[in-house]
Amino acid sequence: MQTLFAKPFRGGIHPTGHKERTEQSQIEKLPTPKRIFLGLQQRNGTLLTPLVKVGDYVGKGQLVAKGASDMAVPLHSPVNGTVVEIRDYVSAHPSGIKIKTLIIKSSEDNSWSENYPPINPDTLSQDEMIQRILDAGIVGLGGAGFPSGVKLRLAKQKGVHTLLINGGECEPYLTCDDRLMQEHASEVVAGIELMVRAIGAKEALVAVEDNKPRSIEALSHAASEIENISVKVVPSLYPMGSERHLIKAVTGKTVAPGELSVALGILVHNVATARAVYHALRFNRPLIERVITVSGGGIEQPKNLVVPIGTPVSDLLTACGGLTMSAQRLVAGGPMMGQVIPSPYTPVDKSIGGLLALNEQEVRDDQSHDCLRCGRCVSACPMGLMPFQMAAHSRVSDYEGAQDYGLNNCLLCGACSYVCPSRIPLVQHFSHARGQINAQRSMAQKSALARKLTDARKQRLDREAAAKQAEKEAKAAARKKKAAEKKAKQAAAKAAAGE
Amino acid sequence: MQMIISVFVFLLLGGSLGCILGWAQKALKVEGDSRVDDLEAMLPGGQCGQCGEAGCRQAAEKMVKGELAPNCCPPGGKALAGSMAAFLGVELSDEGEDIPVRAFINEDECSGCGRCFKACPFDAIVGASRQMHTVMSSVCTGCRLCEKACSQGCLEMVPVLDQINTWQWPKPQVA
Amino acid sequence: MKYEIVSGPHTHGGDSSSLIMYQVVLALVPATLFGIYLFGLSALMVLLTACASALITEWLMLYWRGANRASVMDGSALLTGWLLAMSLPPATPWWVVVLGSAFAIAIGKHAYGGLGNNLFNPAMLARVMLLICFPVELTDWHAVTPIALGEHGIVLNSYWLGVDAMTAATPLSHDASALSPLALMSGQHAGSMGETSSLLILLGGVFLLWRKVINAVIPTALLLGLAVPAFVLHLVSPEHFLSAGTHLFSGAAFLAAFFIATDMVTSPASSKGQWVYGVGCGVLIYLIRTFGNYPEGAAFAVLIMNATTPIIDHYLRPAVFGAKPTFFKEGKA
Repeated sequence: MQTLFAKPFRGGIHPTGHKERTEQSQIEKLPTPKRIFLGLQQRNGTLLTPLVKVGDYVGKGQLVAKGASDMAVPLHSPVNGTVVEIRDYVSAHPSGIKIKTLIIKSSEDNSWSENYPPINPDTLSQDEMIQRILDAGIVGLGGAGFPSGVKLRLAKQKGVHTLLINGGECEPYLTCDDRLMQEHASEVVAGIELMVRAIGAKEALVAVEDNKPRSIEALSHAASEIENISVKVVPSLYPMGSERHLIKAVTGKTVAPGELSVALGILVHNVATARAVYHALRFNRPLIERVITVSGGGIEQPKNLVVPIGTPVSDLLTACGGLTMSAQRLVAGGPMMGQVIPSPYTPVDKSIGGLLALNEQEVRDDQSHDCLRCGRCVSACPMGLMPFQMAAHSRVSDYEGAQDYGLNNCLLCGACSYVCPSRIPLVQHFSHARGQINAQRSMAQKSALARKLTDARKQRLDREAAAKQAEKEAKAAARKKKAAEKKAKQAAAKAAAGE
Repeated sequence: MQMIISVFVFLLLGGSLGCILGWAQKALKVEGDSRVDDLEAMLPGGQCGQCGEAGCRQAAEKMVKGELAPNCCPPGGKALAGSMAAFLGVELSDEGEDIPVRAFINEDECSGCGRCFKACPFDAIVGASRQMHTVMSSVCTGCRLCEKACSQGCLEMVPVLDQINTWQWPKPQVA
Repeated sequence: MKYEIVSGPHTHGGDSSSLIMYQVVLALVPATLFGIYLFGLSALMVLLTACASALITEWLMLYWRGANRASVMDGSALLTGWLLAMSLPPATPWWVVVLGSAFAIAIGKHAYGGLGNNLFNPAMLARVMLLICFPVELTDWHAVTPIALGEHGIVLNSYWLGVDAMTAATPLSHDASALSPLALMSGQHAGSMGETSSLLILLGGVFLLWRKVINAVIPTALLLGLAVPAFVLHLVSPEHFLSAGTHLFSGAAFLAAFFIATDMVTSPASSKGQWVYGVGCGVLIYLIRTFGNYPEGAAFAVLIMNATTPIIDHYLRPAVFGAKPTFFKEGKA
C-alpha cells in the first residue's frame, strides 16, 4: 500500500468534524410520512412528465414520472397511496422557487406493491444492467445527483479500468455513509462487484477517510474474499470527497482541468450509490429511499434515518425530537457545500444526504469587510486558484476576469470562505459570477437564434413575394393569352362571317 | 549659406510629407464608418423599432455617433448591450434595466386573426389563420410588436419568472 | 429560525482580521518592552504617541469617509502606529511622531481606500516620509541607558528618564567590527526600538509562525536574500563588506522579515510570488545598506517591493490542480 498519510494534495482544510453526534446512532427507519411530494423538475431544469392522474392509486415502487432522455431521472412512488394533487410546490432549491410537484397521500400499507422476485444479476448483460440502473432512477447519492446509469454507460464506452468508490464523507456532521458502510458493508460490496462487471473494469478501490475505522474494518471484512476490490485509507482532509482529489489521494494521478476522470480510466461513485445499484439489480427495486443524517446543534436528537424520497423536512425534524430554541438555519447536505432549505415543508430529493439545523455558534455569521489579501484562501484552495482575485473581479462585474483566474475550475467547495478572516462570501461571488456567465451565454445564443429567425423570415417573405409576383405574372400572361386567343377566335369568326 | 540649406531642407521635407499625407487621405479613405456594419451584424435584425429608430441599421448609426446607448435593444438583452458597449468602448449604465417579458396569448380569447403572427419579426408565434395562436417562449424576445398588432386584446406581455435552472445567486451586497 | 437565502458554507473557521492584527501586536510586545528597558521613558512616549495618534487619525478618517467607525478598534491602526514607533529613534520629538502616524493612516491607508486597499505599507511609508523631511530628528540615535540594579533597588538614571541623552551611532553606520553578532542579537546597541534585539523579534516571529498568522516563505526568502550576497561579498573582501551575521542581526532585518514584509495587504499571496517578493526585499536591503546613502534600507526595500506586488500577484499564480505547472502565468492584461 502506498503512503497515503502524507498530505495527498495541496490546499484543503480541516473543519471541525462534529461527527460524534451521530457516529454511534444506528440507521433507523422513518415512519411512513402522510404525504409524499415528488418534484417534477430536476435541478438542471429538465421537466418530467407525470404518468399518473389525480385520484389514481399508486403502488410502492411504481413508476410515476419520466422524462424525455436518460438525463431525466425517472421517479417512482416511495409509498402505496393515492395521487391527491399535482401543483406548484416548494423544492429543495435555495431560492424557494416552486416547481410542479406530484403529491401522494400514503396509505397504512407499507409493503411493496409488486412482489419483486430476486433475480440473478449474473444472467444480465452489461447493457441490460446499465439499462436497469437507469430505469431504477438511481442518481449519484453523494450530492451531485448525476444519473448513475449515464455515468456507467460513458465509463463502459471509454473503457474505464478502475472503479473508485467514494466513502470519504469529508463534510462535517454527516455520518450517513459511515453508518451505511458499517451496517450494510456486504450490500455495498455486492453493488461494487455488479458495477465493476457492468462497466467491464478490472478492479475497484474503496476509499475511506481514516476517521472511520469501523467502516474500514467492515468493508475490508466484506471484501476480503473478493480479489479485485480493495479498501484504501485516505487521510481526513476537506474536500477529500471531490472526485479529482480522491483520485489524486488514492492513485496519485491528477485529472487535467476541463477533463473528466474517465480520461484516466477511472470512474468515481459513492458508497450509497453502490448499495442502490445492488438493490436495483438484485431485487429490481427502484431508488425510493435513502439514508439521511439529521444533525446539528439545532436538533434535539440527531439521528441517521432511512427516508422515503419526497418526505417533507418537517417529518424528519419531528422524528428527531424537533428543533431546539437556538436553531437558526436549515441546511440540506453538509455545512460546507450544503444549500439552505427555504421552508420546513421542503421535500427531500435524491441528492440530499444530510439535514442540518445549525445554531448561531455553528453558523458563525459575521459582518464581512474588505479583503486583506492575506492569502489564506490561496493556501486553502484545493484547486490551486486565487479566490480573492476571482472575487475581486466578480465584485466589479468583470466575470471574464474571474474566468481568467480559473473560475471554471472552482469546485465551490467553500474552503476559501471557511478560512477567510474578512468573512467575504467568496462562494456566493463565484456562484453569482457563474450564473452571470451562463445567463450571458444563453442570452447570446438567443440573440443569435433571433437573428437567424429574422433572416429566415425575411427570406421566406421574399420567397412568398416572389411567388406571388410570379403567380400574378402567370395570371396576367394567361389573361393575355386568353385575350389573344379570344381575339384570334373573334378575328377568325369575323373572317369566317366575312367570307 | 547654412541657413539657406536648412530652410531648403525643411521646405523640401514639409512639402514631401504634405504630398504623402495628401495621397494617403485619398488612397486610404474609408467609406462611411465600418463600425456601423459591425454593429448592425450584432443586432438581432428584427427591425422591431423598440429603440425608437426605424430599424437596426439606423440604430447602429446612432450608436456609433453616440446618440443612442448600447443598451437600447431590449430583444438583445444584457449580453448584447455588454458586447456592443465593449465594441464601442463606452461605459454601460446600469439604470433602466427592465424586467424581461414574453408575449403570452390567452388562447381562449384568441380568434385566430393572424395579425400577431404577421407582426412577429422572429416567427415566435405559431398557428394558422382562424385558429388559435401560441407563443414559443424560448424564441420570443419580448419586443412587444405583436402586442400592438393584436386586435382582440388577448395578447399580453408577462414577466419572465425565474425557474430553478435560470435563477442566479445575487451578487453579495457587502464587500 | 430564519428562512433566508444565504450562500454556503454554513460554518466558519473562526479566524478574523482583528484577531490577526492583535496577535501581531502581541508578538511585538517582548521586543517593545525590551526597547523601553533600554531607552527609557522617551521610547515609551514615542510608542504611546504613535499609537494614540494613529487611532485618532483612523477614527477621523472613518468618520470623514462615512465608514463604520467601530472598525477603529480592529487592530490595524494600532498595529500601524506600533510598527512606526518600533522603527523610529526613541528620542524622536512628539510632533514628528504624530505627523508620521497621521500620514501613515491618512495618506498611506485611507487615501488608497482604507484597510486592504493600500499599495504600500503605511508604517514604512510614514517612516520614509519622516526620514526625508526630518533627517536630523530621524538620525538622532541615543546610546542605550538601561535600568540598572543598584544597592538600593532599581536605579533609574537621568538618561533613562529622558532628562539627558547620550548620542551614539547605529552599528550599521559606523565601523561594524566593533560589535559582535552576539551583542547585536541581544540588542545592547543604539537604534530604534525594533532594531535592537533581534532575538526578541525572532521570538515574536516564531509566535506568529506557530499561530499561522504568517507563513515562513517571506521571512525565509528575505533573510536569504540578505544573507547570501552579504556572505559572498564578505568572503571576497572582508575589510570592505560587513559579514552576513552583522547584516542579519543588526538594524531592522528581523523586524522587516517577520513584521513588515509580511504585511499581508501589501505582499503577494501565492507562494511563488512570496519567494520572489521576499528575496527581492532581502537583496534590496543589502544593496541599499551597502551601496546606498542611507545606513538602513529596510523601509525603502519593502516599499519598492510593495510596488511590485500587484504585478507579482497577476503573473505568479499557483498551479491549477491537475494542470502542468508553469512558473509564469500569461494572464489577461
